[in-house]
Amino acid sequence: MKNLFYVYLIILMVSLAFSGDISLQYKLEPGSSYKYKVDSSVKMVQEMMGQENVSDIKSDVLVTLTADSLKDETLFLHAVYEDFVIDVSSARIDTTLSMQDLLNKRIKVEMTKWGNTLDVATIDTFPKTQMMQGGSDPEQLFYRFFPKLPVESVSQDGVWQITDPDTIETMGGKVVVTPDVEYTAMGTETWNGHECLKVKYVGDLTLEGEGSQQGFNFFMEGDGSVEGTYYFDAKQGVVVQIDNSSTQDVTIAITGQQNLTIPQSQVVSSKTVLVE
Amino acid sequence: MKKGLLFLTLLFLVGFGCNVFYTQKGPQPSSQSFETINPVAAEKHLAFLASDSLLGRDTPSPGLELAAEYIAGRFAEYGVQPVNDSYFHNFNLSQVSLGDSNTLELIDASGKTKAFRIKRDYMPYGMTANGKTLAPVVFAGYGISAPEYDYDDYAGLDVKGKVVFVFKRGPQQENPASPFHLKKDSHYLQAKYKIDNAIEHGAAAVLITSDPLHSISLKPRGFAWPSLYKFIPDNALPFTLAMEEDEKIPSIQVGKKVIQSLFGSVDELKSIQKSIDSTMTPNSYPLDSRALLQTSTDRQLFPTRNVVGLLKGSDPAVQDEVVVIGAHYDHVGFIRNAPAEQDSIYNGADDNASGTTGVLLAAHAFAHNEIKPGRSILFIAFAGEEKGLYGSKAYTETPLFPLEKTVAMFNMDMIGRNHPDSLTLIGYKRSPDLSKIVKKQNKKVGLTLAYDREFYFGNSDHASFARKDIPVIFFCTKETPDLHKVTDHADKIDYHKLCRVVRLLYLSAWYTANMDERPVLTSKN
Repeated sequence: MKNLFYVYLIILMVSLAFSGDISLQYKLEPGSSYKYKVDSSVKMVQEMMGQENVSDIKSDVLVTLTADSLKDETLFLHAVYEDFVIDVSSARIDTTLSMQDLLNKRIKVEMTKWGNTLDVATIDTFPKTQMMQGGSDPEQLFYRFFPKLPVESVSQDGVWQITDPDTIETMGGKVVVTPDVEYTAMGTETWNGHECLKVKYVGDLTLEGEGSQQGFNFFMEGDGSVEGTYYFDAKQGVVVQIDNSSTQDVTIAITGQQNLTIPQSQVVSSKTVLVE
Repeated sequence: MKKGLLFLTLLFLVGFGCNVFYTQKGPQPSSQSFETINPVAAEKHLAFLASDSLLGRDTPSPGLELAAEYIAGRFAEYGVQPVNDSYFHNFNLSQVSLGDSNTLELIDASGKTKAFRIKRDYMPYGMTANGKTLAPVVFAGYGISAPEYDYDDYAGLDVKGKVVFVFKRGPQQENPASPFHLKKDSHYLQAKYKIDNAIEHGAAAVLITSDPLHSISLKPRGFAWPSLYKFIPDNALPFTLAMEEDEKIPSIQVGKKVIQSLFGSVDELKSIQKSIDSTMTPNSYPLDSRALLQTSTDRQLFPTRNVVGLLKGSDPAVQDEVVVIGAHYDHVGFIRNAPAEQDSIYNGADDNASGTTGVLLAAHAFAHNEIKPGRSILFIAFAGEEKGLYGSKAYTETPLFPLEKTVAMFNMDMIGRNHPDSLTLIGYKRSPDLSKIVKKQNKKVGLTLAYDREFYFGNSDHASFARKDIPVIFFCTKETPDLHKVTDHADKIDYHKLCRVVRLLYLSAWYTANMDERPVLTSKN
């Protein structure tokens, strides 16, 4: 009698656990394209030798992602920028740059069905300007373009953590970003014409890394926080919108041709919308 | 006919009078001296300066010292004189690391002590003093005294021997009409000014906080001391020019916990700041707390040398005035731990063995003349340019000849590449007289002059002289894809072109050294 009770309880729990659960996976169909508009703004403060520099950087990006193939659990995509405009405003520079050299050049992206970026590389080369560094690096954007999804199915009010580190290749080196982010499903709703699971997230992250480029060695160490909401169309396996904000306090050091230590703080907000 | 002749004579005199500034007087350079500026000599100098044996002439490094000895040796060989019995103008660079004794404690009115943690709660600035103080804390708003804007946070405030607490930046920093608007990049907004102003008012120490209304982070950043970080290597510490020590006091940036301890809450400080900003009226007052503050740093000095040589002028009336011909002789060293098969040396053939070669060729040419120009010529090869124009800054802070007697500075930086006929003049807007002289002399040399790199004005050693109100002109044949790369090799230099550039500089400097009047600088920024 006692054993039966436990069996019943387990069956009940399992069935409850799976009732209405949603499997979140990217299902970008090979041959299909997805156009996203990404608007972001960064407020950055750097201090060098007692001098503070404050910059406001805004970027408007229109990018089309085309799914090429799916092998095992890896999605092979390529991205093409259709528009990439950066607006920089500070005491020393006030300019708008349209990255014409970058437009219509293909960038290869490999990722798992759960949004872990495995590789990003240019297919068609383009000249990298100084403005295409760090957060404005056209390749780096894809390391965190897609929200990471839980491998297990989630309920409509489920909570899950993601703590797997990301390794981002940038500036001739690697930066490891380790998140400690809690995701909470907020139920489904229709968003931009898609039936979406709304997911809120909040958490912290640490960054550390080093690299070498043109005789400069750089080192980075810092931490930050992140929060936001994304809307995921689980049926089509596509993210419909991401509203993200983050803060970072990092220290950047440079050795080699020049020696510098630069404390840097930044606040980033971005909105990514599936437009086609 | 006579009338006609008189008219022609008058016309000539009027024309002469208008043009007297640009009329060559005094001795002329000999054609033999001109010939000393030749590609064979240029290649010989440059081959040594850009050789692998000098390991990229980093400042400071043994390779740089070898280059300095070579330059001094050539000055001696050509008969260019030492200054004060030396071919070297010595200065020190320094690296400042965090010392062992850094503490901050606040003692409230009841005598309760709260200790704070370095990095998390406070961070010493790079320009802090080695010192300790125990004194009452005084809130001094933004720490600004700007009489021209009728704004003084220190008005009626006694901070002598006390610790002042100030905000970063200035009031109404987001209002474009405010003199302290962030984009105006006013010196009043910088930490260095706030510390200097606190010293000026007799403060014993200064605590600076990010302003809570506008800052994106209240974390105390200040200066990133490598010893406080796991990943930041010690050799990332920047070099600074170690001149005579400015007066210093313990200076730290403080964060949220210190604000809470002094003001009760961040919101309380925000409301004080709002009140100052809304009225543009300071609201400074003594706080109830005392601070026990100690900061310590360790300073390592690196002796460094500019190389100098003098050609004494021939005109007793103006021979105490000098025209400077300069170029930096340092570069950026080599890549450490590179694989053996990889080229790891930044030879810096164009940047700036070419300019240094130009100085040597010009020195040889000037010295080759039996009759010297009226004013003296001072040749300087600067160290530390790549680290931040330190050699030229050091010279202009501790000059060998009075700056008011320094008539002009001709700078060469990267003069051996790109189109065989092209030369870019930088500084032409600020020094129109020198620009006109170069243009006129160029009729004898025939280079195609360009004026499209004025935004590089602050990027080389002439800028240090311009900051001291000395007219400058910068000769450059523009950047190449090899700039600051290991591929900046001597075999890419166009020696014929380099010599034409140096000949133009030689003629222009000679002209300047003989002019009746002095050229002017219209803007030093």
